Amino acid sequence: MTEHEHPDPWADVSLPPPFDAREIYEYATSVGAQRRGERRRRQVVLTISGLLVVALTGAGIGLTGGDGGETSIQVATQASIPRAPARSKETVPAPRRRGQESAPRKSAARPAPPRTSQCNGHAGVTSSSAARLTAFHSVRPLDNPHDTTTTAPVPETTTTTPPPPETTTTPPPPETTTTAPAPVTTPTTRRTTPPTRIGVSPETVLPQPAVPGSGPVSPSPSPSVRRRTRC
Amino acid sequence: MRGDEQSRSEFDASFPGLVTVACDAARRFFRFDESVVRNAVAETMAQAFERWERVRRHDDPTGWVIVRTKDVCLEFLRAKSETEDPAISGNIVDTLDRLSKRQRDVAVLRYLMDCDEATTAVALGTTESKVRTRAERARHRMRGDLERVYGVTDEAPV
Repeated sequence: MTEHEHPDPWADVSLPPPFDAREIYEYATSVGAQRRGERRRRQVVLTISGLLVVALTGAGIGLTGGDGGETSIQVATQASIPRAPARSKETVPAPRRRGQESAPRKSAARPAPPRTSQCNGHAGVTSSSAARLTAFHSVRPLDNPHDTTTTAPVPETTTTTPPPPETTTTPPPPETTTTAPAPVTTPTTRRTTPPTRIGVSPETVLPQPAVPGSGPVSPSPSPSVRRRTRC
Repeated sequence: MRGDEQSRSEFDASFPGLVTVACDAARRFFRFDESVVRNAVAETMAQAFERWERVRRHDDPTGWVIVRTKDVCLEFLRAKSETEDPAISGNIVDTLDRLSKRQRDVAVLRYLMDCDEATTAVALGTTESKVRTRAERARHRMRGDLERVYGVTDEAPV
C-alpha cells in the first residue's frame, strides 16, 4: 500500500553531490535490520534468563520448604539430640553434624529405645532399660578418673560397665577390688570401689531412670545391657 | 510480519525528510571535514531504522534525529581516526569537555549545528529560556576556543 506509494524512498531526496541518498538508505535498512534482530535476540535471551532465574529461585525455595532450609536443620538436631549423647560420653554436643549422626542411627540398634526408656521408666514397664541408664550414669564419673591414670584401668571399666548386671561383669570388679587394696595405688581402689556400686545399682537404681539428665549414655553398652536384662 | 511491513513503509515515507535533516546537521557539525558527514548520516539513519518503533511514536521524530545526529557526530569526533585533521577534532573535544552535559548538548545544537532556540528546545525536551541560559554559560566557558572553526565568540551576540 504505502510501500507502493513510496517505491523508492531516496527518489525524492535532494542531497548535495557527494551524498547518495540511495546508498544511505540501503545502508540504513540493512544495518538497521541486522541490529534490530540482534537487539530482539538479546531481549529474548534476557527475558528467558530472567524467567529461569525466577523459576529456579522459586523451585529452590519450594524444595527447602520456604524457610531456607532451617526447618531441615531443626529436624536433624531434634532427632539427634537424644542419640548423639548416647554414642560418646565426651562429645555431648554431638547434634551439630548430620553425617555422624545419620550413620550411627543405622548401626546403633534403633533410635526409639533411648526415648522410650525414659518414658517407660516412669511407667515401670521396662525396668531393664531404666537400670541401664542409671548404671551408666553412675559409671560415668568412674571412667574419667580411670582415663587420667593409665590405660590399664580403662579397659577394666569398659568391660565392667556392660556387664554390671550380674554374671560376667561381677568377676572383674572383685579383681579390681582385690588389686585395688594393693599398696600400689590407692586412688585406683577409690575408683574401683564404684564398680561395686554398679553391681548394686541395677537394683537400687530402678527408681532413678526418671532423671532426664542421664540422657547422654554410650550407645555400645546399652544394647548389651538390654540383651542381658532380657535374658 | 504485517507490522514490519507497515513499519518499513512508514520509515520509507519519513526517510526523505529525516535524512535531509540529518545531513544538514552533520554537515554543519563537520564543516571542517566533509568526509565524515556521509558516514555520520548513514549511521544516524541506521540507528533510526533500528529503533523506528520508538522513533515513530516520538513526539518529534525530527528532533530525535537531530539529537541522534549530534551524538553520532560527537562519537565520530572523539574517534579521532575518523577525521582528517585530528588536531582540530582534539581541540573541539577538549573545549566541549569543559562543559557540563546539558551545556554541551545545547552548545553543539546551537553553535555547532546552527539550530535555533526553538528547534534546540524541542529536540532536547526543554524550554527556550533554559536553552538560552545554558547556551550563554557554555559560550562563556568555551572562551572563544571554537571561534576559528565555528565562529563562536566569547562576546555576547549583538
